[in-house]
Amino acid sequence: MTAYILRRIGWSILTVFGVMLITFALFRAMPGDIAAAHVGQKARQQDRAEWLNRHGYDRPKWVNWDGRLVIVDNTVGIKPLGADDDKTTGSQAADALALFGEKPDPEEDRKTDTLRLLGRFVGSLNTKTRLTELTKGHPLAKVLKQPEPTSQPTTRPAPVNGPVIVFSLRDGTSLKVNLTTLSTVVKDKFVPKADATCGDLINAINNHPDNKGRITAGITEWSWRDIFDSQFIDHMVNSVTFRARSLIIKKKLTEIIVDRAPVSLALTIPAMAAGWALALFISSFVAYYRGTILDKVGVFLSVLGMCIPFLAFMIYGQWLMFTIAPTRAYGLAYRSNVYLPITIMVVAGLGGSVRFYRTVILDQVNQDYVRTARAKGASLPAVLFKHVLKNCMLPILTNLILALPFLIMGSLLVETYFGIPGLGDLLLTSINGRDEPVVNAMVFLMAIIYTTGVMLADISYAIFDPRIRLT
Amino acid sequence: MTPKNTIPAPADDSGAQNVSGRSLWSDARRRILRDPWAMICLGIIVLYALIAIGGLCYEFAAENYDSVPTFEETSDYDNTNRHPSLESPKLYLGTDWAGKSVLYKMLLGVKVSLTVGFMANIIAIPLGVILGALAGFYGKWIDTLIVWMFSTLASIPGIMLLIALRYAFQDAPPVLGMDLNGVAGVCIALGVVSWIGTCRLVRAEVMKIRELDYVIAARAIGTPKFIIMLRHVIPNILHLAIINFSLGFVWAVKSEVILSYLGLGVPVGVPSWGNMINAARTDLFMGRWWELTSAVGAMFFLVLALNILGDRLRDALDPKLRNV
Repeated sequence: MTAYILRRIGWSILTVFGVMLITFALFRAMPGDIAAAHVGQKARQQDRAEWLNRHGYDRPKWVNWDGRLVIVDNTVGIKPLGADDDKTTGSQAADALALFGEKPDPEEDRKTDTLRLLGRFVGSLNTKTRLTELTKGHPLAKVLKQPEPTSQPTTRPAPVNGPVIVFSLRDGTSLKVNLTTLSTVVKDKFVPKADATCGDLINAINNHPDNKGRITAGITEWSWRDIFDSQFIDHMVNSVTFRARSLIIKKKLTEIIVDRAPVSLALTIPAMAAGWALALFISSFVAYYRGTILDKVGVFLSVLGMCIPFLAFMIYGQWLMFTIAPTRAYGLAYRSNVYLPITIMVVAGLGGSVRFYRTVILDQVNQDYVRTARAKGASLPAVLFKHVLKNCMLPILTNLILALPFLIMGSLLVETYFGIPGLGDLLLTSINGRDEPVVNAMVFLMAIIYTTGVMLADISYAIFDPRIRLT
Repeated sequence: MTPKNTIPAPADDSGAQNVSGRSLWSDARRRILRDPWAMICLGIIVLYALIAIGGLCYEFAAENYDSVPTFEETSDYDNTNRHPSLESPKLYLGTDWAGKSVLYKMLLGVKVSLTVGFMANIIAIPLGVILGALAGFYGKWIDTLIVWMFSTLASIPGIMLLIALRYAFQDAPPVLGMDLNGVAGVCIALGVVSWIGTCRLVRAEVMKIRELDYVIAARAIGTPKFIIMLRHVIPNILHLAIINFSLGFVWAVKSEVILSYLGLGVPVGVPSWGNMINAARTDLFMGRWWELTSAVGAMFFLVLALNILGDRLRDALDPKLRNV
């Protein structure tokens, strides 16, 4: 038995791992620009990179072999270190390299002495890596239109045309680094030369004649510990601990769940209990009169109920309530507003469960022990409610366990339709707002409740039902 | 029906005919053809299919001939929210907020629903049958892998998985020329979610069949395993595929409506029942019942017919379930 339980637990852990793989593949590995959804479609590369960095989306997906360009300010002052483009030259170099200032985490209250500028993560970055990989295909600068050549020769030189990064340093000074030597013109844009490497860029900054040791460019150091600093590992830890924060409401997921789950539970527990009791009662009744016109009418009605879409129940139900008591038809301003959604959930689920329970009960009615009990002289109701129902409990309980996730989640549709601020409502708003941590947490929460429920059910069957073979 | 009898005895035939030699399929066909309810439901489904084909023809005509307006172009802002009346076919079920005929919209919605139901199952059923047969027949690590795959998928509640898939498809690039944010994406999402049930059933059934005498006999004369699976195992589980097809169809049609209502289904503007219900959700308060009711009604009859036909098919094709 212990071996079985251990194996069952191991299998559940594997399943949960599978869920993490699926959610990761769906939410992180799918193409699509999540930064654009949060900082805006027209945001600069620098802003996007900063957003991605702050929320951990810029790290490599599975294994971290990567390094990034880092520029450290050696001066002392009060201004933040920044990299900007020289607007007069049409430069976009700082943007293309996605250089952004690293902000110390305000939560940790860590006063970092060195301010750094970071670029994108690039796989196994070293001084020989091509510059094109750092810029990810973004052009370094636009070629400015040359003034029309006039007949009279001008003494003024043509304006500098090419990618220029302006580093504004902490002591208020600035440093202009011209990258024209590292780039060529393709069409009307400056792009990195094919043979320009990251080392050239670092040299261009470090050995700039005006630099004089004010800033140092380099590549982040990589150690073996960093290999696990990847998005997938982070995703797994976040999923298990629920430590992530919502991207929109900026609250911790645990807080959000604690806030919202009671609302969902207030709706689903009564609905589930009432639906279960009612369905069991009706199906016993129908099974008791099996073969008669009552049974046929009951089955037919439950099939009809199954065929009416859930949405129709909600919309017509709300309208009905609106004609009776308009204030009770939407939202949760009054506590008694929950009656309508609960009723709708019970009624809408009735058809399917009556049919299911009827099949389960009839399956038992044909068994030998029923015949024996009848032959002994026990009355039919006594047999039905005493012997049969007890034997039906197994499939019925399984059915209940499988419905457990919805207990927490509430009915997504009901909550969104009636404006009830539960977890289901949250999930939908999060999807529309691309609030990935919340969506992930909700899916994971459901999966873990379900897996645990099924595991407990299996183990308890193995303990209580001797007919179940341990395989 | 004869009680507790596995051999179909010709109860109402003259009795002098030969009893043996009726295959499962011909027996099932005979049962379905003699079942008035099943035939009525089949008729309803054929009618819906014809309407869907009509919708396809109309769309083809609207795309290729300038004289035929597309459905979007039939907006008539002088006749918005008209009550149903018998004046013209266009007004039989009234008009919507843009003056488009609700009747036509409902009929065009048949196409979307049937497409989604059909395509989702065309993806799901073969996937379920093949994976289930592989798992059940070969066992060992293949079985473990496939069981792990479907138990993982099954542990995410269906609606959540659908929503997650649609979320992930939101700005995915087209795959094989299909826009994942449109109808194709809905079909794929529904298909990916719904193969699990079929796979589980098929796997259990194949594990039973694997031990039967005829399979052992085939193995004994040296038939390769793969050929045994194709020739002796899969034909014996095809009835499960058909039953699951009809039940999966119901589920897909219902789910499409729910997804459209949540704004994750077919794109807004495509005439579908889900979009109709979504557009008309506040209409009842203004006394405009027709758009909502026609969408719900159209869906109700389709789902009812499919449900009953599915049950009858199961009764006809699965002798073990008879007399329950």
